Amino acid sequence: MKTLSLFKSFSVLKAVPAVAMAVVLVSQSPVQAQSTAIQSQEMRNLVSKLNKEIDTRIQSTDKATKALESSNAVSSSAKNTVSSALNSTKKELTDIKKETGEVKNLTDAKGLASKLDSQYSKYATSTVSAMTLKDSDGQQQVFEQLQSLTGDAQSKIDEAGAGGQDVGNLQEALKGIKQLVESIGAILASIVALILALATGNFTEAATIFQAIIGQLAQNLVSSETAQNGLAGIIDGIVQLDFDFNFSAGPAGGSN
Amino acid sequence: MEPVHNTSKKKYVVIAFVVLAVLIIIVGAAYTFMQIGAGDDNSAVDSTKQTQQAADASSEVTQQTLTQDLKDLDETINQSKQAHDEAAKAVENATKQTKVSE
Repeated sequence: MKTLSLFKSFSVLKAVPAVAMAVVLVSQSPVQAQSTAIQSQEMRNLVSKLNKEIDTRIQSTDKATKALESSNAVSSSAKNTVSSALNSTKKELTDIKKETGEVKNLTDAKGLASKLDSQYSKYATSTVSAMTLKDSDGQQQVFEQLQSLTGDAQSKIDEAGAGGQDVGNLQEALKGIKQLVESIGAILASIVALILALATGNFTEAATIFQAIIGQLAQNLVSSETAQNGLAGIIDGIVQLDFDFNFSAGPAGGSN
Repeated sequence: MEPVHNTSKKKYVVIAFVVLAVLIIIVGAAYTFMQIGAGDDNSAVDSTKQTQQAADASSEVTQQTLTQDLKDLDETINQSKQAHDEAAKAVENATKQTKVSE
C-alpha cells in the first residue's frame, strides 16, 4: 500500500514536469516562429539601411572624384594620391553592397553593418581630402590671378613713375598687397601638403585638422578678397594718374 | 649573229641610262626636299613672327586688360567660394557618422 502510494507520488512527480514541458514546447512553437519572423524583418531592415548608407557613400565618393578631376592647379601626383584613395574606397563600398545581396540571416547583416562602420574612416578621409583639395585648387587659381594682376599693376606704376608721376602711395599700397598675396600662396602650399599627408589616414584623428584646414581656407579666401579690393583701388589710382594714359603705345595716345 | 663588241656597247648604253635615271630621281628628290625645307623655314619664320607679335601684345598691359583681369578674378573668387562651401559641408557631414550597426 505504501509502495503503491510511493509509486503514485513518483508518477505524479514525473508527469508534472512532462506535462509542463509539453505545454512549454507547444506554446514555444508559435513564439519561435514569431521570433524567426521578427529576425527576418530585422535583417531586411538592416540590409535596407546598409544599402541606403552604401549608396549615399558611393554618391559622395563619385562627387569627390569629379571635384578632384576638375581641379586644374593641383599637381598630378597630388591628384593621383587622393584619386587612388577614392577608387579604393569605392571598390570596398561596391564589394560590401554586393555582399548585402548574399545575406542569409540577421547575424550576417550585423556583420556587414560592423564592416561598413569600420570602413567609414577611409571613406570620410578620402572624400574630405578630395573636397578640400578642390577648395585649395580654386584658391590656387585665385592666387595665380592675383599674382599676375599684381605684376601688371606694378609695371604700370613703374611706367608712370618713370614718366615723372608721383606714384609713392600706389607703390606703398601695392607692396602691402604683394605681401598679402605671397602669404596666401604660402598658406595654400602648406595646406595642400597637409591634406596629402592626411589623405590616407584615420579620419577620427584627422577630423579636427580638417576642420582647421577649412577654417584656414576660409580665412585665405577673405585675404584674397582683401587683395582683390586693394588691387581694384590701385587700378583706379593708375587710371587717375595725371599722365597721358596710354597703356599700350606710350604717351599721347589714350587709346585705352 | 651580232659582233661581241656591239652587245657590250648596248650593255653600257643601258647601264648609262639606268645611272642617268637614278641621278635624275636623286636630284629631283633632293630638290623637292629643299623646297619643303624652305617652306618649313618660311613657316617657322611666320610662326616666330606670330609668336613674337603675340608676346609683344601680351606684354602690353592695357587698362582694358587690367579691368578684364579684375573681372576674371572676381569670377574665379566666386567659383572658389562655391568650392569652399562644398568642402566645408563635406567636412561637417563627415564628422557626423551615423553607425549602421547601432
